[in-house]
Amino acid sequence: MAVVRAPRRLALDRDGIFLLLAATVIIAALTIPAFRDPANFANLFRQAGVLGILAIGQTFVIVAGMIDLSIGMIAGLVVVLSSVLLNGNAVLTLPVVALMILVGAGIGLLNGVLLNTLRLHPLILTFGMLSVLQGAIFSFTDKSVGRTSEPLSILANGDIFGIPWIAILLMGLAVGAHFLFARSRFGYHLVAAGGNPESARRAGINVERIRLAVFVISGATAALAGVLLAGRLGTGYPLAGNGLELDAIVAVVLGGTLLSGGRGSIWRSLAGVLMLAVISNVLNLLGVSAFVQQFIKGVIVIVAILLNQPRGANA
Amino acid sequence: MKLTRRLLLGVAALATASLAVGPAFADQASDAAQTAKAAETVDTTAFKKEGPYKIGVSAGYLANSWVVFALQHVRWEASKHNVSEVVVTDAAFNPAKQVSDIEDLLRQNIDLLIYWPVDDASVADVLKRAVDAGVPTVQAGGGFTDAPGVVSNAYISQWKLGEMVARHLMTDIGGKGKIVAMLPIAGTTAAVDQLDALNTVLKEYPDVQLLSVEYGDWNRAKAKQITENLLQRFPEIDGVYSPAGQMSIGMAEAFDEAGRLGETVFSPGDEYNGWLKWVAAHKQGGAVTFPTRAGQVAVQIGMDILAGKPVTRGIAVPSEYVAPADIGPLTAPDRPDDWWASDLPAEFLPQ
Repeated sequence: MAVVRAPRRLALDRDGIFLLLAATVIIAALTIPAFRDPANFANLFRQAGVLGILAIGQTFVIVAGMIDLSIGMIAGLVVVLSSVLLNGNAVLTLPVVALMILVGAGIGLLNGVLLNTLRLHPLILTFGMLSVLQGAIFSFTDKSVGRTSEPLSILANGDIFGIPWIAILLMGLAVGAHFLFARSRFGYHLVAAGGNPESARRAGINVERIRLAVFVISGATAALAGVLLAGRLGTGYPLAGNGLELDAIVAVVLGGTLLSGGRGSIWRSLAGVLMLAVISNVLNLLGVSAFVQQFIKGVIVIVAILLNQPRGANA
Repeated sequence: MKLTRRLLLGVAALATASLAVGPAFADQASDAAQTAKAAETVDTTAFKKEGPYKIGVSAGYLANSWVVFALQHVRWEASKHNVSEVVVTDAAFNPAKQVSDIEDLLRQNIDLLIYWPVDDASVADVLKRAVDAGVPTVQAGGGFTDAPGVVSNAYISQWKLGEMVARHLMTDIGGKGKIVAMLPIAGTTAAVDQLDALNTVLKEYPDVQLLSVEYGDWNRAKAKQITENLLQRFPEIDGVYSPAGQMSIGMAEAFDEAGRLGETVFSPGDEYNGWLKWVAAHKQGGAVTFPTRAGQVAVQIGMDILAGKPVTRGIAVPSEYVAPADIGPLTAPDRPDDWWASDLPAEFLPQ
């Protein structure tokens, strides 16, 4: 709790990601003309939208001391299902989006119930769910199917006055998540349960209910991300969700959230997402060889995590 | 309460609809129809501009030696024209990243976009945006793509290749027996088309039983591991359908180590050097080529488009069958397995 409402001194482990992001953006803007083009910034936010929404959900999970590896496949399942259900029909957009969020929340609920009843490690449990969902997707189809609707395509790719719709949605979601996380009783209990579950229990906090809730949030946000990913791709590609869970975890940890739980911030996770998007964008704009890009990204992520994760905190 | 019940009924109806609709599987368009479509002329005057040109290459993946050789063909051909720069991005099999990569390339004011997709349908919208922005697009090395966002294709038909491989296998096993299939990454166009071609050919051979379809992800080690399991599972495997040479060689190793190499017949693979060496040594299988010069043809088409010359919607880069007896000239015994038969000059060969 104290960590969330930390004193406003500049601290590397807390503010490092913002400093790194600001420095990267300033240097890139000064040295790469194409980077400072406003349309490029719009591109950046469009590209970061899906991962940003996933990272918001994953932040809740990781702060609770858990981890959710199933979010990529939940998003992938939603990409396929929503595309098949919509098949280009704009009228069905709202009910299908609502249904998909319910499906995602339902899978999250199942994760939470299984976790609480079977007492499995969340890494193992959600990896199992990842496999189950992957199998389900490929049992359904092994190729791109269906078509997203025009409203979703506009939401994922379009903009208003140069600001991408997906960025507006992401910011709205982030504000809501921030208040839930840092300004509500649920948020305080979440941080307490993630930091020290036993102490939290002794303080009367229902840790199991908190864990259930974070998996529901994670599943629902993964489904929302999946709907938008379908909008980005235009179709239901069965492999669309592959690896997204790891990108989300890297972004969250890059933002300074402790993998051991009890500390984190929605805004810092989003800064982590933006950092990954900026790195990718800058390296593309510089024409850096795709092989070298992988290497550079890895090094930057390691250095950034060394800067903003208190050493020993995860030990 | 009523609202809740209504909501639940609505959700149930949608869920039922989702099961009823199911995926829409489209059969491979007939080769004749595809050829006719590819022969259509495209008016390119809207794309005409003076050089020097900046070419953007959006690779769906680069972690594959075929793609590396195709990319070198792009660079080689570009060096013969008024091209100032070739910018390359790698989507690492991620279609969402490929959409982002193409957006980034468009921000860099490229004059021509050459791409090979992770998935055709997933990049259709962003390619349409490229064309609308005045950047011509040429697909390199995939199957023929007929979409508003694709100006032209240097295409290799995965379906046709799969069909050729399947027909040679059927001939080599005498039209009967039990076979297994090894395909690339599930969901990719290559895997879908190759399987469709195999199933189409199998309809003509009722005495051939397809025991199992596996996905080796173009990965020699994974193909070997999967094959080890197949050998445990099936006491009789008369034939192997594997159009990708790098997976065929992994499978052959597994058969050899199990002492069962003699019982099976391998289909032709492609011109992956490790496979060619195996074919030369064992005098079976052969090759159905998947030419890496598709990248070169794509640049040639692109240069014509930028010159405002009319082009066709597609130029086929045909696969050819090379019998085991003729495999020698294609094979490079002193090169590594992860190498492709090509006409690249020495300075453009991958280092």
